[in-house]
Amino acid sequence: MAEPVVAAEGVARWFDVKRARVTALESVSFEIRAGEVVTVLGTNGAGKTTLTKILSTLLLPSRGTVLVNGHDVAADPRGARAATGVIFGGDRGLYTRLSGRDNLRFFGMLSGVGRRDLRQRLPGALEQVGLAGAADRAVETYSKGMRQRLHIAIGLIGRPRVLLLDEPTVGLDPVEAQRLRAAVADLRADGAAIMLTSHNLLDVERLADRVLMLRGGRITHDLPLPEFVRQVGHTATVTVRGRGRPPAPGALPDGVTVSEVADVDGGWEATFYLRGWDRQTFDYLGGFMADADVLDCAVRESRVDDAFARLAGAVG
Amino acid sequence: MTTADLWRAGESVRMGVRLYLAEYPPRILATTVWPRAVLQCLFLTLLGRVVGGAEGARFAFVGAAALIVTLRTTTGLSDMPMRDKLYGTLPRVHTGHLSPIVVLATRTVPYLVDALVAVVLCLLVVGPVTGNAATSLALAPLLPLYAVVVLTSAAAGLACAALAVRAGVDELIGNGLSYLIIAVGGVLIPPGVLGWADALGSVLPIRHGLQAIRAALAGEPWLAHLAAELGVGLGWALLALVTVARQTRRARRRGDTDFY
Amino acid sequence: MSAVAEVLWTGARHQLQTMRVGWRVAVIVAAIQPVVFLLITLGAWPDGSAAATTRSATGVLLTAFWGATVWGGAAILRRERAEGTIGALLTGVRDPRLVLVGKAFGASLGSVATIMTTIALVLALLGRPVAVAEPGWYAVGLLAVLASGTALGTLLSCLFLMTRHGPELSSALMYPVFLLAGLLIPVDMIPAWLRPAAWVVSLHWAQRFLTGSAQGAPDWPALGAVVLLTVGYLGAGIALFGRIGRLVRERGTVDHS
Repeated sequence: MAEPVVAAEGVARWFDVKRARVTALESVSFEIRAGEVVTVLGTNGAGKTTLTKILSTLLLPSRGTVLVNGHDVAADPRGARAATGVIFGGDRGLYTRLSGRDNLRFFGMLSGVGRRDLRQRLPGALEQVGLAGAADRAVETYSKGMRQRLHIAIGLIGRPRVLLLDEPTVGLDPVEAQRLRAAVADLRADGAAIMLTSHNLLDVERLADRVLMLRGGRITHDLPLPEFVRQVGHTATVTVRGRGRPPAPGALPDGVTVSEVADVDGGWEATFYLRGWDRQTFDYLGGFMADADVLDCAVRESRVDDAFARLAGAVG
Repeated sequence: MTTADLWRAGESVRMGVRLYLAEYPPRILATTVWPRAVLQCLFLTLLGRVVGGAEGARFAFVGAAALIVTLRTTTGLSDMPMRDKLYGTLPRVHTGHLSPIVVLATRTVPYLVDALVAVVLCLLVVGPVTGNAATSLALAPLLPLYAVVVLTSAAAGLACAALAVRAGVDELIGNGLSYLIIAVGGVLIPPGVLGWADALGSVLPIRHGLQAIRAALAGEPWLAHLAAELGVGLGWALLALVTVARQTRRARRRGDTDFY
Repeated sequence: MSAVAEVLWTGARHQLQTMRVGWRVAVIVAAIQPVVFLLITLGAWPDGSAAATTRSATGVLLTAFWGATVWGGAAILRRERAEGTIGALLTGVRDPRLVLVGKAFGASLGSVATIMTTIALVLALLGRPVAVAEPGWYAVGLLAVLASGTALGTLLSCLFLMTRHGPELSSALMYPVFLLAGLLIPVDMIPAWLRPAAWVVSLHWAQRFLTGSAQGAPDWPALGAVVLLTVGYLGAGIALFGRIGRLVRERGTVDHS
């Protein structure tokens, strides 16, 4: 297995606010390896932004160590920065009255790219994110998607080994969001270690290899994506709607649970949670529907948002 | 300092010029910024005439030509760091390969050039219009002394801007300092009239520089005044340096640089 | 209270609250600026006579008021645009012109009050007496100044909305009036061919009326000129605001937020 490019060990961060100590992170340990995308999930205030700030050297940890490409973010921020690219989400973080090229050139210089390299990389970087044609226009004339692509170019111009993406698809239309995900997937293929925070669970499903779940500043789960989804307790939800008298659910086979059969708009609705699909399950659902006047049957696979909602609400 | 560092500083100057021209395009410089400088100089010169007749006007003209540099330095520079805060670019500046103080200092270059342009315009326009053409001519060789005043007031402007950026009081501090210089900088009120003004003015930029200019104009020794002005400027530059370094450290300790 | 007065007063009160929150600009133009001008100009009449002090204080009041108008009242719409609230103002049920005039009045009221307080404090500290022979007419003159500032604020606010360089324009507009209106610098010090420029500045006439009232000889034609110019500014401002409202809808240049 590849060596970890990011290694956090016992990271804690607290803030003293008006004599009260507020803990944002507590004993956080994890690793990210080359070619791996780790997604950090958590409700607002869970500590995601604090963690991203620490990794990007904007904030010192109160305790613990974080090594980025072997450089301690507290003791050797310059070394850590040289290996890190940060891609912000949203409209801000750009000199909007200047052109995309001016922004990229300046931030490229700040991110440590040398003179010759910068001159060589600029056209390709703009081309890569589809901004070559608009490179000399003021950023204030860009759409949200174009601004986000410029953020990507800025984050990538230093060819970082570690990429931090903070809500990268916020405000993007589905086409732009998909384009961004494709770009991130390419980076993973090129061997970058990527940490992604996002409230857009489609980003997580499409990109994540592993999920870190933060709650109250602690990591409650650190699991590969499929295993994280299984935390919801079932793999699919089947919703059956019908009219007339609702049939009794009867004896449920192993791996099937049912919510209460509810009256809905003059009819009824029954929701079944399935741990997996097998012969018994098919037979049971077939029998249930054979005895009823069924109007509709919908099958929905369990997804990240189900797991997230369950864990965010239930894990204390 | 390596060649790479010099190149980075040069890139920062270039970015500073681009940002400056985006904020103040040439048509705005020509139609509002420079006319304002000339008109302010004219106003103060005429006010000097109201207060002290022809001699008062001459005294005020020499002072006003120095004072108008504050439009680009103490006042103009006050919103420069604030702009990074507004754009949300501070995090990248703080984590860049160039020290934030170097970014800040290199971005002042267009402001300094503009301030000197304003002085030249005042000598060209206000002197002849107010009957001080001879004074303008006599002041022309003393432009290097005005350049020193530009530098020292820029140092004060940077220090104030750095101090103001957290509290968001950049306008107040920058303009407040400029008005303070009008009142106690020896621009219109000669040194020796108000004791408290002399004491306060002695630690502000411009006052000693103006004394050097007036002494040189009168054919008197002026080097001691110049040294005092440079000393005051150095003090303000150190304050700016310490403030920015402290804020950068504090931002990392507290994480209070806006992430976006 | 009639509906019109209610909208005007709500606008004025809102602007006063805005000024309280954004006190920094008010402190510069309505407190620091008059203090500095007073320190300089009082030196012109070292005898400290009440008449000279009153003349000086009136000049400083009007000078600082003009500064406050270009930085306060004239910036109303620009700030609304920056805050993203101009859409709500333009699409409200209440007449946006009344709201704007109300806000401009609030800005003028706040400025006059702050400047007068500052001047009174400085004069008290320096122990310089003032003398106003016709205090009633002097107060009428101040009311005229208040109205004129409201009208100027309305007009300039609309003009400044047409450009992104409002602050630079504000800055550039201050000194022509300082120079030409005869507020601190007597008009006879200005070249003769430039003097007619003062005729279109209401504060020039206000200065004549106030100074005359202080000396016991109110200048009635000057008061008439203040009123006429004020009506003219207000009419032009309201017409321009209507045009802006149409342009905004034609071009869709203002967002809802």
